[in-house]
Amino acid sequence: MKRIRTKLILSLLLITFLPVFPVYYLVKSLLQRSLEVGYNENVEGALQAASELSRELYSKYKQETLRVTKDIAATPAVALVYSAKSQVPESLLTKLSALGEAKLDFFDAEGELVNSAATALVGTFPALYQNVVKPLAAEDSAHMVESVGGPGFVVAFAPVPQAGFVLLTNRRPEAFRQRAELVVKVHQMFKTLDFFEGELTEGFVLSFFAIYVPIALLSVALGIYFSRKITSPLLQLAEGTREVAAGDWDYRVAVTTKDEIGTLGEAFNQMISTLKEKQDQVITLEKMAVWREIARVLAHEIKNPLTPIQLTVQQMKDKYAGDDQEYRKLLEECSEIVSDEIENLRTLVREFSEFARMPQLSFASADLNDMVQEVRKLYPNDNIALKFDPALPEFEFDYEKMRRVLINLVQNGLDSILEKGSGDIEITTAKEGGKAILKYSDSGSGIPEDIQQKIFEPYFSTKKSGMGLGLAIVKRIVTEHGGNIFLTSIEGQGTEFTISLPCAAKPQIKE
Amino acid sequence: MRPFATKVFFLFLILNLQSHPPVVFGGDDQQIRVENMTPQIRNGRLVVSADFRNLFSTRIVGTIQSGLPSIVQIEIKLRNASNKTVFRRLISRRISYDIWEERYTIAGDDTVRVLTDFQAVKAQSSRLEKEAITPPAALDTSQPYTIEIRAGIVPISTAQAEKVMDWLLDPNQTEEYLASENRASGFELNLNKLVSFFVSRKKSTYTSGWYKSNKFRIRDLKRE
Repeated sequence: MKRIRTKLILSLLLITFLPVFPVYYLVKSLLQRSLEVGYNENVEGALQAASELSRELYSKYKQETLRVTKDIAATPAVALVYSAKSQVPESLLTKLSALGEAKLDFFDAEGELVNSAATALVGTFPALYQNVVKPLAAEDSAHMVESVGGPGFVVAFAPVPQAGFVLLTNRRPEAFRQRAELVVKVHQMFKTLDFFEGELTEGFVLSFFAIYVPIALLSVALGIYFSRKITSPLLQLAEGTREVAAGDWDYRVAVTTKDEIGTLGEAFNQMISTLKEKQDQVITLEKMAVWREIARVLAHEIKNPLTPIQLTVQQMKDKYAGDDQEYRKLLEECSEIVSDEIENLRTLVREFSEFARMPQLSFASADLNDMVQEVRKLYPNDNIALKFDPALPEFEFDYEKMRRVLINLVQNGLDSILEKGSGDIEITTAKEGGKAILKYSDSGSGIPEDIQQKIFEPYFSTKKSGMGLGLAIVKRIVTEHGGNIFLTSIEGQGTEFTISLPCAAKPQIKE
Repeated sequence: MRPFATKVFFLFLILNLQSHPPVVFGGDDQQIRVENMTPQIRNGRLVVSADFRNLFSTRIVGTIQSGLPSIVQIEIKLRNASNKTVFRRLISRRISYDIWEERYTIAGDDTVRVLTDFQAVKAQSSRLEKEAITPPAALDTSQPYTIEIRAGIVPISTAQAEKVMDWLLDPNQTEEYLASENRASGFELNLNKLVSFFVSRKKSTYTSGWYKSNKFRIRDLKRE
């Protein structure tokens, strides 16, 4: 049986882990392919070019800013800004507007702000702090000023001879800035991926295993659990078979589920119950057959000498011609005793013969409730209650024999009640499954526990009269019907007999 | 037949599972080397000079010039006669490139140098110039010592790698969102985290092996 479990577990392991290797290679291969789609030399070249292009554009942008700054600083009109401190001339503003959003600051030779001009501004421009501006006063050539404007601006410096210097702050177009930074960012991502391509594939594969392995282990654990659930009942069945074979007809397997395995267990238990019933019936019938043979032989052997004995005793009495009255009296008394005992023996022989010659059952469709009602009528003065199941159908049974069974039980019950002093009887009928149930109960003196096992055996009786064949005959009739009779009794409280009869087809029990 | 098939299967399996052997090359199949390692006494301190070859492969140069910072790491160990490490130092130099201003910055522990020529960057990063180790007074002048140096370069920082993983696994997210800790939970995101976990724990570093000096005594060293 363990082999089945091992096979199940091995199959499960195989089913769980066998696809891992092809799936591993498939996943790895697909990942590499998918990375190759986005990650190749052409894409890298394009990104590199785009990045350089962005940088060149930015460089040109700075150059243009510087050129305009120098141009403005060299324009004669600048002198007007310093001398008259008037508004910035239109010609300078025209040059400035070519740059887009820009601001022009005029400083004197000491680095003090003289004047400012700007194109139409969208947002605020960065502050030009004195610590940055002042040192520029000493510079004599135009250049870009680093670390002043922040990422969105460029600042150019140009000296104005004999006057001071100008600073031109130019806002980089937002659209250009965003696009350029996106290009750079993607290029950087690409470069990063260049170093992590292998690790990325490995990361995906490891992630796959990190998810797959616990699931696989869980399914294996579940597989082991379920294989045990399957094989344990089978092991129990095997054990049950061995036990039954060894003679333990009371062994039953534990049925804990309602699935196929549970059904199998129930079927096994049902089979053992049926076999036990049949076996009990066969044993009972075999015993009955033996007892009947004994009864037949005894009846024959006892019956034959009875008549000669009686005739001889009669002759002894009749042929005596003497005058001895005492002897005659003795003779008559003795012959009377012998005749009585012979009569007793004849009764015994009759009962033996009747037990031995019990005819075959005669099955006919009849109503069990009617039969019970008829028996009830025989005891009009006794306290006998009836409870009928109206759903009990007519079925085939030997009406007369079952009537005898019930009379026997009632008679025993009445004797028991008489012995106790008071009590009553109840008879009920019912239908349970495919069986008709006839239940007899009384509140008589009950049967002691130590003799309950023997009361169905022939020639066993607790009564002073009778041959002890009544319950043996009851058992025999019920058994020959293919039914069962069960006794429940508590001494001093009462007795209950439950008879179950098949109420379908005619039973097939044979001796 | 069966044992042979089993052997082939396991050999195949082992070969395939051994992906990514330890990297000791700086790329372009050129191993990083340490050369001209020279210990000497300068201003009363034990100093060491060394040159590093092949630190900057074409791939790493391309990465730096894309604007991603790389870190040059130099590890120095001083061992005594019983081969016990008596001094250890890790020097890191962060090399970054401002693609808009077209200038390089080398940031050391306490120095920042700005250069416009990559050759100058390469020269400066590939040279360890009289790096102080420890005062000779702390050492036994009669005992022999050895110096071990290895140099390497980390082309991509862990933070950058994680950023790329996030970007790759969920490219629709904005940078601001990625920087945020307030992320929704869910299987998809957890799966991303799982992949990120396995990827980011791998640190791509290119390093030389340990280069060991000849044994020297402090008293025999050249002094400046």
